[in-house]
Amino acid sequence: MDVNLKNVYLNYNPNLSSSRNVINNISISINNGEFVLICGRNGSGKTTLAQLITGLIRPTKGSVFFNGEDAFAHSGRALKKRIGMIFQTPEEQLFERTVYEDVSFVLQRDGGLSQSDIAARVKETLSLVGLDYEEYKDRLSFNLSSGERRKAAIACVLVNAPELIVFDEPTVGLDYTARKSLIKVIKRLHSAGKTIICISHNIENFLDFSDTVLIIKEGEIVFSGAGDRLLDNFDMVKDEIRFPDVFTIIHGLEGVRGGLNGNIYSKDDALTFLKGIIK
Amino acid sequence: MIEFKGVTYRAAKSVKTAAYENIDILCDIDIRISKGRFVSIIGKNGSGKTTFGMLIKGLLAPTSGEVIVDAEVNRGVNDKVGYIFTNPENQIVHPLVEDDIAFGLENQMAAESEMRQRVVAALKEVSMEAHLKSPIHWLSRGEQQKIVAAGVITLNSEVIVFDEAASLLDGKAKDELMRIVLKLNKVDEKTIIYITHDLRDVIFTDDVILLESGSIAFNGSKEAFFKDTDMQEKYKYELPDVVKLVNYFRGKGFELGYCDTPALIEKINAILKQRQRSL
Repeated sequence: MDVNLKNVYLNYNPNLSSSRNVINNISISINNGEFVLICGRNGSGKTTLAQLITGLIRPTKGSVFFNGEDAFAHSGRALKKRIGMIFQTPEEQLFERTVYEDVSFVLQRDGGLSQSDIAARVKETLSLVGLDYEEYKDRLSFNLSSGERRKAAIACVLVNAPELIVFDEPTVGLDYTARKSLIKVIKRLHSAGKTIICISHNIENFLDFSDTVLIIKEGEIVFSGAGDRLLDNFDMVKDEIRFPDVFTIIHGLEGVRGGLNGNIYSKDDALTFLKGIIK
Repeated sequence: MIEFKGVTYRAAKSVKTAAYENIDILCDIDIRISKGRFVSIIGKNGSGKTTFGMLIKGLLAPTSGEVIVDAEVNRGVNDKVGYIFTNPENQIVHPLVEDDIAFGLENQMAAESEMRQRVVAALKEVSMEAHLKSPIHWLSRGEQQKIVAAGVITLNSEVIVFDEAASLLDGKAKDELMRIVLKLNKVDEKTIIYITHDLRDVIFTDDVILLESGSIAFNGSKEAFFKDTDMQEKYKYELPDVVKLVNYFRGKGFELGYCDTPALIEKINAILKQRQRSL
């Protein structure tokens, strides 16, 4: 799904003189199938921006378009159903008894599908997040491991087959294995053609497969471009994000910095380069 | 000093829908943590890290065994221990930032003028002084995490447990929080228990306790932990890039030591300079 934001402002309390714009004149276009990584410091407006992109909140000023339709007109509102937002620590929203009941909840509520259709959708969705249907469907949501609960909660959103999915800090609080496995799930969704918007402080988890990185600072976009361009703009963005340590080290080495622009894209490249120093 | 004497913590947990079983979240733990140490607690989700921290604070009572803090057996909540939860919403009690931070001090019957001073000082420490009068729900979750940390730090507890207290912070804020924790430990001589999934944090600590399904799999210095590269596969974690780099350099005859990135840059620069001179 294409999303366009045009001169969007957001102020949570426009009537209060002390209140500031959390989003300050942002215009962006997100193309169908794109992977967008949103970074920035605490309180910079990342989550608010994501909620504007999904049409969850209405901008104070400016417009949001889904596939060219105004998000808040009748035609656009129908498209909102094709967007899924996965909030921070989504497992806190699990409330049914079993995984099956939680994941099938929206389908049961909306009606129109037979029980066997619903079961098929749940099965398909659970496999998408890497949970085996037979093993997990009757498990109690509250007694899964953190990683499993996170995945079950994500399945609750994916069961609606959204075309655009927003992940807000998806890997927070997960251990190494759960983190790796969830990143694989997100990668798989992207390869399957979904448009993905991911908010994260741990840019190293997602940098390698992001099409676009957006860095926001006090409600404004200060960087928008491909992930590899990020490294060429180290000084410009270093106060807004924490680069992977190996990049920071290379950047700090005397007499080395100038010679490598554009040659190091991944963490592995960087580590190999640093090891080469003492050859 | 903190001491666990044969501590077991058992809880009923359902494995499948209907079957409840008693599971030892922690099993027969014997450990001593000397006063003034900075200890990181690591391990998978569900390995017992938070239970370990909560037993020190006295939020949980052991099923068997004793937890001793500062020569006294824990009976109920221990005021000598500060606890910072992962989720800031767990411990926010006031709608306004300044009131929330002052809450703990009020319980300690601090004088009003002293209270004000300490609240402002604590907010400055976490770079949130501009938000003294803000309603907490205006802040992002990462910012709320900083407020909660400030609130606990003002209490001047002998022992402070950080339970993934930086998980929602941006990279820079994480560095800032670590600076504060280091000051609490090195200058004010507080004992710090630092629960984390980010092994880069371990670089700053003295000792590491690795928990694996309720038992202690490793307890020793961070040097011993980082040098033991065989445990990674077994306990499913990955050493940080900087540690890999330091280990590699050691193999080639250069000892950099496990230190933060700026110090590492300086040391590698020194090596580069020396080699240039010798050429």
